[in-house]
Amino acid sequence: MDVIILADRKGQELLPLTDNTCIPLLPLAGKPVLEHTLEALIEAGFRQAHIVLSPHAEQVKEAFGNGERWGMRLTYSTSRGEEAPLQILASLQNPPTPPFLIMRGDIVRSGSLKSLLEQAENNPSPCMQALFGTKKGFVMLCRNPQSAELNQLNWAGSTQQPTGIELNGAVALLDSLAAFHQANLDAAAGRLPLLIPGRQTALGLTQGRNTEVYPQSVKQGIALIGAYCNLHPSVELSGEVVIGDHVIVDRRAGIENTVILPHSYIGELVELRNAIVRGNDLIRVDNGAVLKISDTFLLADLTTSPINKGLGTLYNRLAGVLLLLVSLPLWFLANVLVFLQKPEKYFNEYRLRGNKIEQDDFGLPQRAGFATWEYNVTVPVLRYLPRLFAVISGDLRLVGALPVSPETAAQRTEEWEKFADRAPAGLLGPTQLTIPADAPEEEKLMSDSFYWANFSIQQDFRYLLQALRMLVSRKAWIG
Amino acid sequence: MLINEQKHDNIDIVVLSGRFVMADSPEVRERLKVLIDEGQGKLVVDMSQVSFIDSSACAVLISAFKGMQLKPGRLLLVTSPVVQSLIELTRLHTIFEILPNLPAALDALSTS
Repeated sequence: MDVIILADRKGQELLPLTDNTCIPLLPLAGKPVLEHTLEALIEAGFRQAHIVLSPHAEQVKEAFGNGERWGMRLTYSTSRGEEAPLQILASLQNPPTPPFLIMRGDIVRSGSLKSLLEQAENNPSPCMQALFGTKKGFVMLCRNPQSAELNQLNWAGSTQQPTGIELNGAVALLDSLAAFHQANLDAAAGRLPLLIPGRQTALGLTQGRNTEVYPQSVKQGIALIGAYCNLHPSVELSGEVVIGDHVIVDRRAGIENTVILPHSYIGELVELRNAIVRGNDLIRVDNGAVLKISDTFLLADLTTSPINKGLGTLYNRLAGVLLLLVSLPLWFLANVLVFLQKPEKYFNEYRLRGNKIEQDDFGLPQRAGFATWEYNVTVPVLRYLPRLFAVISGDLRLVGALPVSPETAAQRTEEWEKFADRAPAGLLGPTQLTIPADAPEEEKLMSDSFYWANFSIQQDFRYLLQALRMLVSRKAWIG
Repeated sequence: MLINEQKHDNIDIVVLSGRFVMADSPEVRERLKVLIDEGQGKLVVDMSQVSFIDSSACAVLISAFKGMQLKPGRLLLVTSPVVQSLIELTRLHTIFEILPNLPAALDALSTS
């Protein structure tokens, strides 16, 4: 039987958790949300599924691949995000053969899919949905791919009264930060029965491999701790606590009813209660506060920033100094030219957004702007010479995306625009070298997007060589 | 690259084939602009025979998409696996309506 998994929620309701990932990949009780759906399918005997993705689709494909690890065959397609199921089915390369199973993979449910199939077998309805009490299970056996009842799986909402087959189990819609937090605690406590990774090492304590935690840390309640974690013996865990992989909790920290996502550091004496921690993001689910903690002694993100990818900052700055020395004759030439062409105004000053990270008024990290200037001459290679100082100061990398003004950056709001915006800004790059200055804005943006999507150190070296070759080209001197 | 324009009822169809790169961008941009300006707000860009696209080609598609939004109208894409991969890599699948083949695209526009 064909299986279609809809996992194309945009995830706005779970921001900031979904700012760099998507709901199917959010960790819930030690596993990505989507994995719980795959496990339910395996348990019911399914060995293949087609997954419909939208934001961060490539991350999901990378994480789940062809499904071999789960003994499944997975295929993928994409939607624009939260599209109606009928529309999605119409756009599939290989439409499912009725009867087929269709379900959301960006929520979590327990309960046996086998029961749904058995009960639906004798029911003539075109689509039979699973219900958990009064809640929709967002899983349906469908005999008619054009049935309007498919709209009940629409994440954007359906006004139809849910009808279907009642199953034993529970469903977590993950439709708010508080719901995501509660679903984690429910899974750890067994109220949302899921397959949980790790082994029970003491009463109330389940831990993953290579994790160091002392049973006496669990004062009362339940703790589910992932792999490769290190909790100081003086740490106190109470209530229900879920800790993801690669988390470090320092001495005398107190954690109660909290979910800590992977790669987070919890500092000494820190008290966490009713919260979600993701790196240095602290989300209080009881009062709705979302804070970015700047003091790394309290909370820290153990992952590295993508801005630091590529040639190291120090190498970049050293290369900037070297280029400045080598380019000294060009500076002389630029001064002579500008004196002859525009003696009334040597320079144009402007601000660009660089690669240094600073905090805004709300404590949120953002890329800092920097002041730069250009020679008031028509020769491109001379005009942009002063940007070498930005490379030396670390505001620009040697190779990167086209630097833009903070105002231009603020206009980039769509996901595809923000993707290109993640690339570090550079003195040289494909856009600077190959795209004409008067090309449409989207062409420059797409060029940067391609650069970032195919990023590699080797590619950066290729652009450096291309830049050196272009130094003797007509374009560098005439424009 | 080959550019072939067709019409199906009130739906404009542009069938592209071969490599769609920077050198082809101005011509495709212009022809799509004319079709959007003069057409009935229903356009299919069939790239099922396109073997490669670069960033400038994507930029042309974005321009056409924006132009169609202003009209307002509907622009559908039909992609080859290579084009689809590049569109997904650059997150453009979050704005473009992509159909698996030309009949599906025509069907979607006929019923809208």
